[in-house]
Amino acid sequence: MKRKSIKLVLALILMLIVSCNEPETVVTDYIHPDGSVTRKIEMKSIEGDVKKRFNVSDIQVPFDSTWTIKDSVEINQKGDTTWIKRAVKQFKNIDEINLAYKTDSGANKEISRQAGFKKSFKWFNTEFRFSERINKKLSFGYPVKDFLNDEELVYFYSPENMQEAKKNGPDSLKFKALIDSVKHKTDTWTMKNLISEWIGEFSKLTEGKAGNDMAIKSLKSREDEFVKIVEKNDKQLDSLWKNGILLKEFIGEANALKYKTEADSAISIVSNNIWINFKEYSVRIVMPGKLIGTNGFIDSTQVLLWPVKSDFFLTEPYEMWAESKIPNRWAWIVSGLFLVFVLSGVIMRVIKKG
Amino acid sequence: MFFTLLLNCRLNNAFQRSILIDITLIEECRGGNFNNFRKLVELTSPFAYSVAFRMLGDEDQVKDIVQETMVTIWQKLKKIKSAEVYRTWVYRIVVNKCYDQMRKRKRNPEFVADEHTWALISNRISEGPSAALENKETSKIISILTERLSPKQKAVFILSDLEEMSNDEISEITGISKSAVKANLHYARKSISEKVEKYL
Amino acid sequence: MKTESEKYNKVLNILRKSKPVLESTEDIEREVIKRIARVHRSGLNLSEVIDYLFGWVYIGWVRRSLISASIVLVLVFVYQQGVILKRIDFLSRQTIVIDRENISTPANEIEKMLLVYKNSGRRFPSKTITISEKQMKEILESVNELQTKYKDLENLIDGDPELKKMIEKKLIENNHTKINL
Repeated sequence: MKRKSIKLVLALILMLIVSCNEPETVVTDYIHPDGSVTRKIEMKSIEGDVKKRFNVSDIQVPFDSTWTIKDSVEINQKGDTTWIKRAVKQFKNIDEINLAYKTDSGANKEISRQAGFKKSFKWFNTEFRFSERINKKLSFGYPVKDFLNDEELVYFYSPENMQEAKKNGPDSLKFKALIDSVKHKTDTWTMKNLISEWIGEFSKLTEGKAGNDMAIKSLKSREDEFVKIVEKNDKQLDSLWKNGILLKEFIGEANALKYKTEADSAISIVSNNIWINFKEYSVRIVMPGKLIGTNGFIDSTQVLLWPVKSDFFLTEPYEMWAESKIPNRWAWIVSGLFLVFVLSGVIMRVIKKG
Repeated sequence: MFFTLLLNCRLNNAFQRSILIDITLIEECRGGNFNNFRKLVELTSPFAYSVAFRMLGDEDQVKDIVQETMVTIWQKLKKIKSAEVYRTWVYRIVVNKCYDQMRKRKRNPEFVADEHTWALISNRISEGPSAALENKETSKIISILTERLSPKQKAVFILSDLEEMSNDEISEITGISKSAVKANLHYARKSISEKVEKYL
Repeated sequence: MKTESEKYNKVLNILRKSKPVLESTEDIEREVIKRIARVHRSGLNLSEVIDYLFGWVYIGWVRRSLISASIVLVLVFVYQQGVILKRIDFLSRQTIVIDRENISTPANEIEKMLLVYKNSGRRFPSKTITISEKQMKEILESVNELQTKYKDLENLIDGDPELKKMIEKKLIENNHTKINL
């Protein structure tokens, strides 16, 4: 069984998974009224080595030979070169996209994703709803909204360029304090998630074998205590865990000896859940008709934007949704004619009666 | 064997006032038999004329109304539910056409009552019940007595007290509820009896 | 009282007895046949068409049902549109991100609209706003201020030939280096 030390797991969680020359990827879904989707991928890279530049296995969404690819190059004023790879594919319906997600062998194959499309006929309008959902990784984690306030949450979910602008904008001082607060709170959140997940997995493994003091309720009530222990021994976490000292401090010497195997297995499960290969990307959606609702960011051309980062679906499913409407012209005409017809009849009757 | 339809519901003088229209005649006309329609015109015109004349009082206008009524009967006879509703249906057409006519001449009363007219009426009346009035006299008297009534009140009065129909029939013909019929009738009788008291 | 009702009943009896008499039905028959023939020849007339189309008005339950259906239709429409307008209004208040630039949450509606207009390729989002007289005055004042400052700047540049040359050179440079993607 692959064994990852706590410290390494923590470090990996706390570190942003950013590779200097990773392509910047934007996936745009053009939703059509019949439920078909035209998906376009745009990857930009400044990697000089053509072999390292774009690998199929690095693409963040399912990709295969049926895609139409176009390569281009941009050179800016300073003379910097950006290589752009654009790919397009038409999906007949949502089921094809979901099938592609299920059989994905790309960079993000370890995450579970599904798309949804709904078309509702509401007489005067036809409403469309499209969503892409990424399922959560941890079973016992805490929602991030329990740790951040509203303003911090907006910053947390914002795209990179928005975060950068806030950092460097006119209110940079105010936002610096906000950013520091978000960082501190997300560190706490991450720590609590890790420990909560471990407690959950450990309790599952010791269920039936251990006494009530090993039950999930009992361990969860002492979660804060365990957090303090970990924080106190931050610098020697690895060795302290290996020697069983951390475990002894938490569940007592007798239990520590008895359930060392289960404790190690729990850590392994937690690290498998958290340590996933994931490459960030951005999702854009273009809906048919007029936009009426979304939880994304709206740009000037009414295209919707979401960043997709691993933090977003760590403890809760991450859903990106948008709703739009198209008026049913014939329904408006028929209704109008019907109302005119009824009104005329009523007026005629009133005139004749009078 | 032929079926006859008794068209008067009042028991008093029922035989005198009943108009017998052969139901098979009506059914044949509904089937488009134009020859028998002439017979139907002959049988229907008198009672249509009676109501219309009492409502309007003008011979020419009334003849016009009766003709229009017969044309409408020919055009729409197929659409009525059955021959049994024929009588009420005809009365309804006549009364509605009379309403239209009365609306047109709202501001031009036919007759103006003066002392001389009332004296004439009084004399005629005192001659006794055997003396039937001529058409012109009838229309004058009715017009004067019902001068202040609305078309609906006048129609209800004529159908009830002169044509001797029941409230149910009047309700069906005029399209107003039975209680409204009673109310209109009460008002009409009150207005007329006040006039009678004052001038006769 | 008795005398009154007696008088009334007398009048009524006489009127009842004096049923109007139709002298001859033959004239009526002749005229009716003439009219029917005329109607046949002239074909369908407007009143018939209207009667055909609007005959339902005289059938109570049909009339009531259609009126109820119309009212329901109008209510459904008003409700639907209300819900949609509410959602669109909520949407318009969400933060806007524009390409690679961005804006922090704008101070007011006009600022938002102007920034979007500036950055979106001179296209307004499909929405209208109303501005107050005060806001209008502010805009006009700022435009006047800009015009005055521009005139001052022009005068400054005209007064200094070296400065004018430098600025012209810079403008030409900027035009050349624009990259069309």
